[in-house]
Amino acid sequence: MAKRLNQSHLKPEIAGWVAAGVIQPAQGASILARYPAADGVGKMMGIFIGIGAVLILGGIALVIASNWREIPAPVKMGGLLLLLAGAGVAGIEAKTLDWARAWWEGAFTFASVLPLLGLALISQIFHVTGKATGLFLGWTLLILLLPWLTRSVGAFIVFLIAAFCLQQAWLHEYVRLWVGSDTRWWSGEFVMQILGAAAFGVICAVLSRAWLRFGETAQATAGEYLGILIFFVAAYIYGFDARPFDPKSAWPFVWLIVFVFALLLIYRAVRLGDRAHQLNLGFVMVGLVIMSTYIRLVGTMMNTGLVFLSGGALFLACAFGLARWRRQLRPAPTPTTS
Amino acid sequence: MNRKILYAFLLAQLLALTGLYAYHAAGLGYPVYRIRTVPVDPRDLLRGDYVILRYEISRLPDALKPEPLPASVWVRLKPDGGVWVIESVKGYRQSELDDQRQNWPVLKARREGSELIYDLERFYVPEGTGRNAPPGGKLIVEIAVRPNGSAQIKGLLTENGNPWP
Repeated sequence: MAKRLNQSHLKPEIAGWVAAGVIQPAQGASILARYPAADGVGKMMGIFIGIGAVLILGGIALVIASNWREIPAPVKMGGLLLLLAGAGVAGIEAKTLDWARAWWEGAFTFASVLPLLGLALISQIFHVTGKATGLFLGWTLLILLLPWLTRSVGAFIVFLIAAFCLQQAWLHEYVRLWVGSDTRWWSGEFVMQILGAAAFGVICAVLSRAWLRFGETAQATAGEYLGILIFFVAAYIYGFDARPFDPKSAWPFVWLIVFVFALLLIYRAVRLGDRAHQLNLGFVMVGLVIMSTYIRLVGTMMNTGLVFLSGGALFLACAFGLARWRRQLRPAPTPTTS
Repeated sequence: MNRKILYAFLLAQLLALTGLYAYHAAGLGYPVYRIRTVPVDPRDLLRGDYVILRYEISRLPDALKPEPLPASVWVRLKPDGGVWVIESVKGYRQSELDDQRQNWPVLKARREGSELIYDLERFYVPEGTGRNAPPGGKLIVEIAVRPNGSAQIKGLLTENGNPWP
């Protein structure tokens, strides 16, 4: 993704061009005038805004959970609706007025979490028992169009989290009952939840590519990364209880598949370029599988001290080896202004 | 981005939440019946402390256990002193008119073995008050029953008739 330029980025460069006689000072001023004075909130400020938003949302959730009887129910509900309206209006206006992305991203992300808190508040006020599937279905439906209408990456990630919660709740509360408790095929619900999560990850990564049709690379990248991350974590955990296969003999094959997928991810990231996050994830998974396999193989055979010593040595070897391999595949970028 | 569409979407979100609130608030206006219960107390991450309620009417009467019943049943209540108990459990609904004439409520329930689940099994309480159940742990629940058989908890009372918690 191209870096958004502003006057502070360009000023030293243009001064250099003017000094070298490449362009006239007037031309330099015209070029500068075409760019915004500053890029709004910087990266650090964006992180602070994000942390602040998470803390505020956590605070609201805790206030709801506290269920203070001093606050009448209509006041609680009204306050939450006001917050939702405020976040929505702030996001829409910030985007319309072309403010820095961090402002409307934050507002829309905030607005996509609030409906969940609203549903939780309603079910608390009226003692609605219901199932988690209903709660997450309501949340998913209430924010379904938000990422597409706003093009907010944060809202899209929240939507994916809502969809993931919905899928897991549905598997837990309904599918388990439909398939019954035949342990020849299911190790309780654990395997079904894990395999469901892995399938969700793959589907999420593939479908997120559809954003590219709208020219939205940030959403495509975020969805793809989240999907791959969920797939890897689920597939890795499946290695601990690989039913319906024999868990004692099937785990090396499961982790081998994870290992091969991690290598393919690294290969793809190098081929496509500009996929540093996927490259990093691929290396983390390769290291994790190597370490886990080693500890699982020798853990019961070696003295505990030797396991720690050899495990530590292997960990260092993996870290240095993979870091070196990563440097070869992706050399450090040379500083440029574009 | 179309600003009008975004505002329309925001309005739809607000209306959906307000509508859901209004639907449940209106549900409390239906006739109220009292049933006996015993509380237990866990916690919900999002919604805070609640007590699990197990009702007298949560157990299928012994006389009805041999009857083949579907997973979704209709439970008809009858008065028994100051509270309401099970009169009959059927896999279908009897005449609605008959129910209304007698003013005996009919509840929709899910059957899991000999347990009947009404989706009335949680009562959310202010933080830290869930453990202060009255001695003996017996409570009476006031439920508002809609004509379609769904019900909502209106309040919890001790056996003396005082609100709890």
